[in-house]
Amino acid sequence: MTESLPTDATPWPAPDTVTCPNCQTDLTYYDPNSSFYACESCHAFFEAAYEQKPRIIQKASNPNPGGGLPTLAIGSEGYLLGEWVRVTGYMLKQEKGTSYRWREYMLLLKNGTTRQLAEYNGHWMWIEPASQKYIISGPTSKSYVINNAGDDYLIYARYQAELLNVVGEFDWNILDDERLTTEEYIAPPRMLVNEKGNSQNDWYEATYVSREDIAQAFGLGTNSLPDTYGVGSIQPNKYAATWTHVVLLTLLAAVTAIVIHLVNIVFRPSGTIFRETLTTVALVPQTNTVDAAQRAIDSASIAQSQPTPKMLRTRSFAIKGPTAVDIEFQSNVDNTWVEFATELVDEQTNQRYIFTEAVEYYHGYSDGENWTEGGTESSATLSKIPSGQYHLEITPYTQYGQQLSFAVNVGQNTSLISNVLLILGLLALYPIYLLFRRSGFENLRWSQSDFGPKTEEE
Amino acid sequence: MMLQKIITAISKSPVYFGFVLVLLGFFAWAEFTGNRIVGDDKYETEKHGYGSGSGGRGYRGRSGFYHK
Repeated sequence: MTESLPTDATPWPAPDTVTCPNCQTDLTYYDPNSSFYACESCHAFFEAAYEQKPRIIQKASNPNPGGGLPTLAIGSEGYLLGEWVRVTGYMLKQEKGTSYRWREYMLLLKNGTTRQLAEYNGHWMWIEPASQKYIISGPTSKSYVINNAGDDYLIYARYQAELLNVVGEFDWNILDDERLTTEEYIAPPRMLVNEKGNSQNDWYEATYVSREDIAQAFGLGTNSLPDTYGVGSIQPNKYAATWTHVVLLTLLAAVTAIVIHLVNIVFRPSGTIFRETLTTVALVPQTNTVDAAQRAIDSASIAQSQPTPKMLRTRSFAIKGPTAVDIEFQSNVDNTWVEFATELVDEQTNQRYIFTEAVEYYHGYSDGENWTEGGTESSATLSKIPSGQYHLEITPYTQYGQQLSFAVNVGQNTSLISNVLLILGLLALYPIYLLFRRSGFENLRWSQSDFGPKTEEE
Repeated sequence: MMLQKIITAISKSPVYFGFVLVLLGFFAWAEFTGNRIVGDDKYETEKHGYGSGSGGRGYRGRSGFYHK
């Protein structure tokens, strides 16, 4: 991996050593600007500025309070975000009054400036001094920051931190940080951090760094880094990024589908190709000569002996396919019904397309209201009918003794709006899924915050 | 500008783009062949039906009188 890293002829500042005044261990330091040190042997925190005699500031009572050793070893070198960095300090911090703990690493750059890496629940941030002072606007509890780029940064956290463990070198007294109030404003994958004290108001800019990038930067296996839990405060919402692309493609596809449908309507306009009026033959049931008991025993044979409706055959008509064919029946039924068992017959191949369509219309007056049910028209749509000469064979079923006339209309190139609706529905599935996942991701992010959209609404 | 956005979207979501193409291709085929994807009203297609005397046709209509 290191073979692919860019070479940089700029040398690191020459390391030197400082002796711990508590345990006399010689400690290597890498930043000539450092004047505060935490001994990795006795965990004493002391100041050793220039040629002055080292002064112990604090002797650590609990050098390793459950935080473990730093994942990134002091002195290790890496290449991250286009910069050669060296780890010079490590701090384990905890939010006062809570059990939230995170780790911060001091990084020395070759130009002598410093940066920080912060890790919480396996999520990493690169932190550097802000290039400007930001202005907080909005109500105090729901304040946000607007920077020059016009992005809104929503407040995510406000806390005071306490140091639990510290190793390495620093150019300021890190114990003073325990008196600072820190506010974090997020616009993933970026964060603005404001540290405020009595006479201090500093801004820092943070950017999310993936676990894989950290591992690659320092030549580590991802398994050696802390496992990732939950959603990081500025972790990019991968569903939001995907959603943007998918919505664009979906909209394009929807427009394309509608255009295809319109082109089909324009170049293959629908129209009636055949119309004929026919009349049913009234059926009279046979008179039974057997008694009721015998009729009950042999009801099946009696049913078979009843007269069946006469099949009616229409004139021949041509269909230019393949196409969807619409066959409509119209009958002036009045409080009765008629059902058409129908076959569309290809006269060349004798291929038969079979369907049933009913027309029924009822109306009346009950409970003080007029009511109607059904209608005098009904139609069936037959898919993918090939070109050819056709006729219809219709067997109308209705009540005994009833003679009805009906009209049958045949149309071709029927507009299949159901196809358009189906395709639009299918296209919408994935964006809707992503919308839910995106929302769930953000809910998880803000569930770790005392602020956030839901809190604001309350 | 828009073209660049579309190209980016395709490069970022190639699998979904492929799915969309397949879906649109199927839709276009259905449209131009008059194929109703869901809800075809013909329930049977055969070479020899009621009219041919084969007796192979099954009528699914009502078997008795309507009672309101």
